[in-house]
Amino acid sequence: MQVFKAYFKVMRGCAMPLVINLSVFVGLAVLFASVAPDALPDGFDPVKSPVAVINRDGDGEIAQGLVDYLSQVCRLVQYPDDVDKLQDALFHRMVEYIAIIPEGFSNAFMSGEECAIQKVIVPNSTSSHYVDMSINKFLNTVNLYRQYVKPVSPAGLIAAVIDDLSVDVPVTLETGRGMSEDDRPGHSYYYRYCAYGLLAMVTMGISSIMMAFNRPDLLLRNWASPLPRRSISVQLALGHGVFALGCWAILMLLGLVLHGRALISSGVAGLYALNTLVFAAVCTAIGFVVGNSVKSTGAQAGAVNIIALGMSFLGGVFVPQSAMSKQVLAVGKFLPSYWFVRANDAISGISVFTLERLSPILSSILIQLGFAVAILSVTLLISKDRPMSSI
Amino acid sequence: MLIRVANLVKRYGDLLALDHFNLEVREGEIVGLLGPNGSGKTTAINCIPTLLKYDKGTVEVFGRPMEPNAYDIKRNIGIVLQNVAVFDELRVEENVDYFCGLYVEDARMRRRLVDEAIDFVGLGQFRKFYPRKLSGGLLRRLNIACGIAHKPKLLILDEPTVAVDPQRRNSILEGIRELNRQGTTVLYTSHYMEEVEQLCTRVVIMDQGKTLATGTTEELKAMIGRGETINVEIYMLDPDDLEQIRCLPNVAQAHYSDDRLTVHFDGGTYNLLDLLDYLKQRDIPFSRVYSEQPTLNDVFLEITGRHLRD
Repeated sequence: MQVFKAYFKVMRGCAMPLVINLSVFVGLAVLFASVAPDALPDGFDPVKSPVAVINRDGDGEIAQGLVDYLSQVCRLVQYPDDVDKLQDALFHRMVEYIAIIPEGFSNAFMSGEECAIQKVIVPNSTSSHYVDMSINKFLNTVNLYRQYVKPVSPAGLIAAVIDDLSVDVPVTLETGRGMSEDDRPGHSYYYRYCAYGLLAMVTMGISSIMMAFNRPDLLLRNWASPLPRRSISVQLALGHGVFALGCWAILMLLGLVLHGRALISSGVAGLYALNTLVFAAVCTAIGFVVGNSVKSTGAQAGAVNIIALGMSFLGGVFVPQSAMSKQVLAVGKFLPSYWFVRANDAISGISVFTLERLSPILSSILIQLGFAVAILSVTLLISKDRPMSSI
Repeated sequence: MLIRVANLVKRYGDLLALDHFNLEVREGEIVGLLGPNGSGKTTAINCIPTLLKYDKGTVEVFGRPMEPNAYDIKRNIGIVLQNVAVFDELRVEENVDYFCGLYVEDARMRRRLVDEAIDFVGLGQFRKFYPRKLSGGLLRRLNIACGIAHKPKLLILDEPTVAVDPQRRNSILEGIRELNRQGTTVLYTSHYMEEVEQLCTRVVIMDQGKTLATGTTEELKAMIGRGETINVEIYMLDPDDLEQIRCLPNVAQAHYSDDRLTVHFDGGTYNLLDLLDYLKQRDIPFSRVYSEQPTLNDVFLEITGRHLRD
């Protein structure tokens, strides 16, 4: 295992660019972890908006029924029927909606005459729409009962309507499908950026080693030794594997440190790990290509940067795929980073582990694996029978 | 016979690098492969351990055909390449240990061999240095240490002393002699004829991929049938005296120009005494006298019409 042992000694000599890349990645990861939320919205809690109701209809049963209903779905704030005080309350957001029930509203409503509830709202506020919806729902239902359930007393009608509207339907909130970028949890971003981290570190490390062992005179010296060429290649491949696994393990560990609790509760840590591991294999293959292609460290640094940044941008690592044009996405599909991000985004949104939900993730991972095998095969084919005279 | 190369042909496209090249190296010899730059020395050296594929011919090492997968033969060969072949990322001792480890698996023995090799090339105080911190000469010495650490039975050195200072060069040559005394057979290429003359028990002169002549230094010099050349600075020499000098024993040629008498001899042992006796008898005043022995360059010149370092 002389070559394998030397592998990591040689790696020590190329450690500086790796440490720089890792530092940049860790810095970015920590920064984003502190900004992006880790938990997805996984339930619904109705918000009770502060509403002031000015009931000028007095004891009108419909008006009173509406007030009772609103007291269930909103937070009723008591204010006197004073325009100045009501405007002050609205200005200071003490209330977000003022509903004014006009005098004679109940009678007019029951007799089917046109009547309306006046409102004063905070412009463009979401809560005002919500209150509107609640009022409309109540009045429409009352109207429905009035028209089709006869004979009915206003008191019985209100009781029936409030009873109907109090029925809840259990809803299971399934997150993930069509999730917007803003909804993604922090660990999704972290693992997405892992693509850049792996590309920069694994590609740089492996290409450095390949360049060192591919120096023509060193090749000759190795080939002149009693160690078979196959054994040298196997030991180098083993070194590449251990190095890529090491980089992967560092990033996984960092992911656990930054997002551990959310990852464990979401149950997707294993899928992230698998996706990232396969992408590490792709990076190993790319590093192998670079190491076998370039001759100088300057060219190597250039190639690694172009590949890492280019694949990250075109694959949707830095810019979300949803924000990319069709043309760029079409190009991106020919890059493993695109499929990595696609799998990553699908993993971040998954909450139900069914075959249907897992299959797009697994197919993206398989495509990445295909890229790794294809890149490695082509490189091996080219370099396998490299004539000695070519060195 | 340790190495037997017969009718080796190697082409690089249209260029014929080795043209039916022949070489034989016997056990215990230090054979020098001498030729000008581009004569095919390195190509020949690289073909022997199958680092280069050749087009035609046979190579036998230790009496067996040399194949790329003849690992048991390779285990007994040490190679010091023309260019420095070490890892820039490894320290001096790590480099020697790495290359020694390709041949020797036993860790304890390897440690001992590495120490011996480092001491042998005088890099003891630079063990922890990275190659980029070493001068050109020190790098060359590291290159040699990497090739000899495993104590090979056959050592192939391809111009190992290029850029090494004269003092260290002598010590390296002495080291190679010592290795040879310990039983290592050496094949040594160089275009420095002085080195080859000083070191090698047998010399193979090659040019344009062909073996031109083989033999000991003396045998090669004898081939050209020319002895020493004596130069004498004389202020004035009468033409009659020049004629008389031409009649002295063993004189092949004699000519006088620019106050200098040059006499070429074709053998003999007391040529200088004979010449000086004549000058004394004739009372011819002279100042400086110096004698030149024929060199391998003269041999090369005689064979090819060119100088070795053309």
